[in-house]
Amino acid sequence: MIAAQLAVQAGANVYTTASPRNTEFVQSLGKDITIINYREEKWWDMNLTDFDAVIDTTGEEKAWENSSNVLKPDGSFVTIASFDVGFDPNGHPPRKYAAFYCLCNKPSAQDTIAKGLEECTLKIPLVEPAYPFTEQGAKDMLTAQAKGASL
Amino acid sequence: MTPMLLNSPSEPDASQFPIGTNVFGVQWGQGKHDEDDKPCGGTFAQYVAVPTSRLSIKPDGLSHEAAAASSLVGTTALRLHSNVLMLRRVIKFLSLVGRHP
Repeated sequence: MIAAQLAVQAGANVYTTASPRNTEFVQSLGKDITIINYREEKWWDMNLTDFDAVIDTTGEEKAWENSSNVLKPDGSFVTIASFDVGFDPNGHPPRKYAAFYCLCNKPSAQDTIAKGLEECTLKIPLVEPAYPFTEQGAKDMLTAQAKGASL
Repeated sequence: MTPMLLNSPSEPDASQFPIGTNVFGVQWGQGKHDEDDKPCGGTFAQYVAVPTSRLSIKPDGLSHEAAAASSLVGTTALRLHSNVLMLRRVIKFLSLVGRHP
């Protein structure tokens, strides 16, 4: 979701999948964001075309394959959770970038994100409670996690 | 991860992190940070050892929960935009955040 917010701030025309329970939060990130309810709609089956970038944050099944008609010829595909596309950014010409991406973190990037959150130019949904670092706390967290995504 | 710095015994550049400083950062689960050979080992622990070169000072206006929840995903998103996608040239952007059954 932070990637989508950064894209909005850069002036991009942003589409994102979301489940119904997160629709309100996602729309609050930008009124022009187009939200695709992934429980009812298939993004690759909606005649979406000419995209400059598709970013897969969850390792969605066949995301790379399905993005082929959505992206423009030199559009980029990035995933942080699937190896289907391979590891060479230049491995799928004319795609500008098409690969698994692994973070190489820097404190300067951490500082930028923290500043954005502190100044409310970025938002994250902290909808679940924090669990104590105990055996019971870990069990409760895993139980909650089974019902939906946790941070 | 978002700990409070308890001790900084051997880092030469640790002076900017007095003991007790609230810090946060990204710690790899396995292997090593890319720039040096110091091993690291996950975050699911009460105490972890991290090179200070990888830490940020947590702003007072940011909760530990928000810092912990955003550090990995936030820096990934930021660097995707600045290093990979060069977003100033991106017009249409599709973000996939959910699994299909």
